[in-house]
Amino acid sequence: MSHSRRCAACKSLRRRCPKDCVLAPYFPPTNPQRYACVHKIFGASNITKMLEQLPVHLRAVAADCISFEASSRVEDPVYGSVRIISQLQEQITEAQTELVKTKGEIAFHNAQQQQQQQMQQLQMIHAIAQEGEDQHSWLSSSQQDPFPNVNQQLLEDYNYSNTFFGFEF
Amino acid sequence: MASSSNSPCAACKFLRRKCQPECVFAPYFPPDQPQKFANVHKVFGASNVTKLLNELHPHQREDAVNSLAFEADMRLRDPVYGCVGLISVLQHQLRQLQMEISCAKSELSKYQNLGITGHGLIAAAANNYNHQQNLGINLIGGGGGVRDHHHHYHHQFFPRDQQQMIRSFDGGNNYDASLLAMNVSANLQLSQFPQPRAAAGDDRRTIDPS
Repeated sequence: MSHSRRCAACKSLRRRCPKDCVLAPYFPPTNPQRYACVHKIFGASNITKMLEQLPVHLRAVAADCISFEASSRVEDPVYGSVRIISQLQEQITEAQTELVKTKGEIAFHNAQQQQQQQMQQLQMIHAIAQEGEDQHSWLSSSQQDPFPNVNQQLLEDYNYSNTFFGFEF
Repeated sequence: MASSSNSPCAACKFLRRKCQPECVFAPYFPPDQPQKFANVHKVFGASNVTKLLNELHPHQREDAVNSLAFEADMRLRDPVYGCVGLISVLQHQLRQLQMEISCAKSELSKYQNLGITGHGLIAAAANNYNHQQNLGINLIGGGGGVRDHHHHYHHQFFPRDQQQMIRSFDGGNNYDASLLAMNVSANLQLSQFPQPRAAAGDDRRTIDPS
């Protein structure tokens, strides 16, 4: 039974797979490629050592991460998973630049909007001031000539007749 | 090469063997950086590294060694998540930035819709660009819960068709990217990551050749 239930590691190493095989839970026989990558990059003894030093509840995640790194390295023998890190860093830098640029545009538009509001306020104030000035000038001009359209001679005649006869009409 | 016969490379020193003139490790593991080889040896093993280097062109080997050293360093710092923890953190950062950009562009579009700029085309272009940003390198998953994130995380890791790797990575376990972020060491310096296609000189924690 142990022959048919050998894990991918023991199958690859052509050895008996014991019940307490460290690698068996994480390298099932249904996925030989997973172990093949790990074996090529890290080696059986290194993997076993790495997993053995970890608490059992963390071994599954560790095996997954190790598998990922191994398969990345098989796919890209020069950079492996480090290429992904580089690309992410690059993307982060680009995103930061984009964010700063967009925030700058927002600040610009905010400033423009404030400026427009200020200008509108100034225009309102000017309009009010102008209106006030117009009223003032109307009042001033009406005091100097209360009857601008009346014939001045007639007015003079009226005043003379009032004062000569000594009585008022 | 006279100096190499007097001072063996870090690899041969570590392995306690004579450093031959044609030593494959010597150009990449100088004697003044013993930790570099020690880490690589611990994680990958000397014979595996030799095989890897022999499969590459000589001009690719320096970058390969530096990226291996970086991965080994990450794995020793974080024996559970290794490099993958950092990838998760960076993905999270990128996702946050993209959300901020999206909010900022939506705020900006209000001004454009009010006709302040007077260019409706800019709003359309901004929305289109925002959509393209989300496609990007396809490394960022969508929203949703952990399970959904788990699904997107795996499929988004590989821009090319690597479904088999995704399945193997999954391994039938619930992969929680939030755990990755928590486990990454706080001392990581993002600026020290190796840059592909750049000549790498010193490494240790400064694999970044620039």
